[in-house]
Amino acid sequence: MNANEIMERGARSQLLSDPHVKRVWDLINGESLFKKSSDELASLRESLRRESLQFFARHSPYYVDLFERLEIDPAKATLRDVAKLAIPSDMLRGDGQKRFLIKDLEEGGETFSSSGTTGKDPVRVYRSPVDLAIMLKANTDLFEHVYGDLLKEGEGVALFMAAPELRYKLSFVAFVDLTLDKKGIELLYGMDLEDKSQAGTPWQKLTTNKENLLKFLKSKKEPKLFFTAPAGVHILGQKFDNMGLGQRMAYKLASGAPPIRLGKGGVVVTGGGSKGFADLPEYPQLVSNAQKHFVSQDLAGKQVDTPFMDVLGMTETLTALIDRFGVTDKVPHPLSEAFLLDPMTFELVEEEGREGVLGIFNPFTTSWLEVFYPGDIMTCHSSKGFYGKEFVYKRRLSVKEGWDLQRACGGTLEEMMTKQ
Amino acid sequence: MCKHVPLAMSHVVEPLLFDRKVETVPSSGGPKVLELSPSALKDLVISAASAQRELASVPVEERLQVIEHMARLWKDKLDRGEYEALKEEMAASTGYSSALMETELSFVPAVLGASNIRKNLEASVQGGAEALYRFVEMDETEMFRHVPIGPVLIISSGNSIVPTLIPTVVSLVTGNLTILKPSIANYSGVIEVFKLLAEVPDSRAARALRSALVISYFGHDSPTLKAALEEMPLGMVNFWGAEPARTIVANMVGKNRNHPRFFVNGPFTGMAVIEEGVDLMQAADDLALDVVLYDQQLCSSPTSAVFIGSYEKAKEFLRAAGDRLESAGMEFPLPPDQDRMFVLQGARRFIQTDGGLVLSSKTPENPWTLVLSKERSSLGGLVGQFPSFNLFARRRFLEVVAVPDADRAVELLRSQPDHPAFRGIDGVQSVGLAVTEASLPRMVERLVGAGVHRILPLGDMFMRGAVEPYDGVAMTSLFTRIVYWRTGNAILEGQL
Repeated sequence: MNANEIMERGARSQLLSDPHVKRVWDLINGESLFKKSSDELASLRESLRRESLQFFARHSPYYVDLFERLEIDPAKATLRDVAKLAIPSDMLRGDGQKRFLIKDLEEGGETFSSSGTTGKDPVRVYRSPVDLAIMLKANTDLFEHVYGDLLKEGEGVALFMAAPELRYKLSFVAFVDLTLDKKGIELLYGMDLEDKSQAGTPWQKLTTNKENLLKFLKSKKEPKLFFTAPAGVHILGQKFDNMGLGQRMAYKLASGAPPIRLGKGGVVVTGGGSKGFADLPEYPQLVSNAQKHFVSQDLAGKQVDTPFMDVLGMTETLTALIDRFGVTDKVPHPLSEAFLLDPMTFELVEEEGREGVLGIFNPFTTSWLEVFYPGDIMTCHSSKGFYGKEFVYKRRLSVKEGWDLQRACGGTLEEMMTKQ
Repeated sequence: MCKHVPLAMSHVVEPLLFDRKVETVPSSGGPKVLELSPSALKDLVISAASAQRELASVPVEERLQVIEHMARLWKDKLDRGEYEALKEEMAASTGYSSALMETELSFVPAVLGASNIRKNLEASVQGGAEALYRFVEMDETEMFRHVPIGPVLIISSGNSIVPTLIPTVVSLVTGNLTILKPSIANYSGVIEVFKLLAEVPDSRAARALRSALVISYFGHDSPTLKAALEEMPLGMVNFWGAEPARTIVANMVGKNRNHPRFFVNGPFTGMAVIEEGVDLMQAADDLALDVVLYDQQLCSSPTSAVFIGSYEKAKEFLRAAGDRLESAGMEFPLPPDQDRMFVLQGARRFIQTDGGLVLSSKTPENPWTLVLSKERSSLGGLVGQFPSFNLFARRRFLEVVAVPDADRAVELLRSQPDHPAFRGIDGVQSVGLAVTEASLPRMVERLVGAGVHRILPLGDMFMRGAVEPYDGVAMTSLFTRIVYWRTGNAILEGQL
């Protein structure tokens, strides 16, 4: 499905007869939410939270039982209640989402999965037609807001260091593809997916599509939007750094790079996590290393440090959190509730600057109650922006397995015990 | 890999042998770990006959007095605070709280106490303890003498001291050259105990016991361990542990042309059975104690429970047990850990969304979790979603399944080894009962046929009686064989 088809099918959804879904649809497609004050948005989110829980109680007996067991009254639900409902993303691996889907789920949507770079069963999340349309519109609006301008219809060119096949698998790729399609901006995929029978995750089976890469580098269109995983920028920078003088000259003659000229409004957009690369530098260092290889101008034509945006958009969230390096820390969509949980007690963290596990509640998702925590430790601070606060990524929690060996009666020959 | 890097690793871990110098080689257990070389162990094994002969010539009571003296030395040092550093080191290496390690260290004198060992020998050796030293008449003209089966290799249990001391002391006292392989986690503690053999007053018994004891770590790929298991003339291998090590070791022992006895103390667990009608507050108190002591890591610790009665009453019990866990657990605080808490929270939420009722602590130092399920366990899908949250990783985590009758309770107990959340155990070893007087006899009868080894009052599940067998077997019988001597045949007429 292309962007237009997705929007048309979303508009025809039977679920729009439900008052909650209708309200969400109107809010997403109506006047810009970014013009509202942070207080107005907070109040809007509160009412949507309650309506959303009531919607799920209407559409699935599972939620009636769940709310009852957790002593949550949907009509009075607080953010604290929502925090109680948050599930770890790990629960969405394999068929984990099934139990959470509403009874009258609309078919004809798309299922996205995580990249599988953790070696576990990927997280799989189904998106119904109306959810897909909301995803497309909401992410485009958020992207443009953080980018600082509207992407103009048909102007510019984008390169995504991914393969086109991943559009139907990974949500970050779908989000970029659909957003640009909606704007009529040409998108080139900078990678090809190698023989699928090979072992490894999709990200480990990619090879460079030199033709598209050259086309992007040599294009005169503006702005140039460069989308990649953080590792992509890092590896590209290393490649440039390690070029000998002769090789550098030859590459420059063929492509005009390095540096890569992104033109007016040009931006590098990273997303999708580390993709299995364990030795990536910290993000600020990664940006600083990479900026010398990219040249951009602001919209007035003045040369600036190339802007970097980072998209925290995991499979399980309909909308991403996006930042603009050095300008805006990560912000969610205006209708999305992002919150932090104390890593020890899982109580809400209210104080600024204190680390917490990021939780996300998307009251505009209609197929399942989308409230989850992926395992990222973040902090938040207040801001004058639309959301009233911004989030800063710190690190990811990991699952350690040391206690496997700690049985008192047995468990010796410990190395053997770990080789199961 | 093992998360808790023992402090012991900061100094050299080397074999403990008394009055001897032998060759050591680096072990795969760590950069500062030394183990006996194959030739050194072989020499020791070959010398077993003389060491065992010498020990056998010492009266049992004298052997016991040496062990008793070790107990007194330990207690004195413990009282003087000399084991404070060891306590902290063991807490760091095992992951238990310091308070629990303190409790553990205080149990040592009881394990080494001569009266307890004597009781055990009297109860488990046919003919009594004296039969370990001389022939004892069992019937007219028929006599038994129990002689050591050794040399004995004990690949001992993992992360506390006491379960390692028990077989080692029994093997030694019954006269065996005893080669003990502790784990890296409990190595320091075990060594501290047996080092006391060098501090007891000099005597023939003390010297004989010292000559009969060898303690060394062996890495999983140790050539020495391989040679010992596959080739050396051992009389007995006692393995404490689970798969896959158990099968690997069994296969190695199977190749040994000397055909040593092989006995596995496999991984078991405990279950609590509570019946509506008992004093629920008392039962909650008892259950909390069993859960908190050793954080459910003993084969006797309850890792599941059944409540025979109504769901509503079970809920009431669950709340009481939660209150008790809140206070009992704080006496043994655990070091908080964000990563572990992340997995625990995920598991709690998985169960909640799967229909289970979850009560849990909000204190990271005491992360107890109680789950109430109706008639069937709610943990079925848990390990599929959270593979790292297996039985061996769960701490202070207990599911109570409410069932209508005792038959259903025993059915759950029998099916425990097949339950995905309990994968890796051989079965339920210990059952802690809190049932009414009227139900007790029938319940015990049901349990006798259900494969359990121990039936106990709830609250005392961790306690071992002096005369208790281990996993259904009298421990002395593992380490000895009986020499039968008949002085005349006339009495046997008509017997066969």
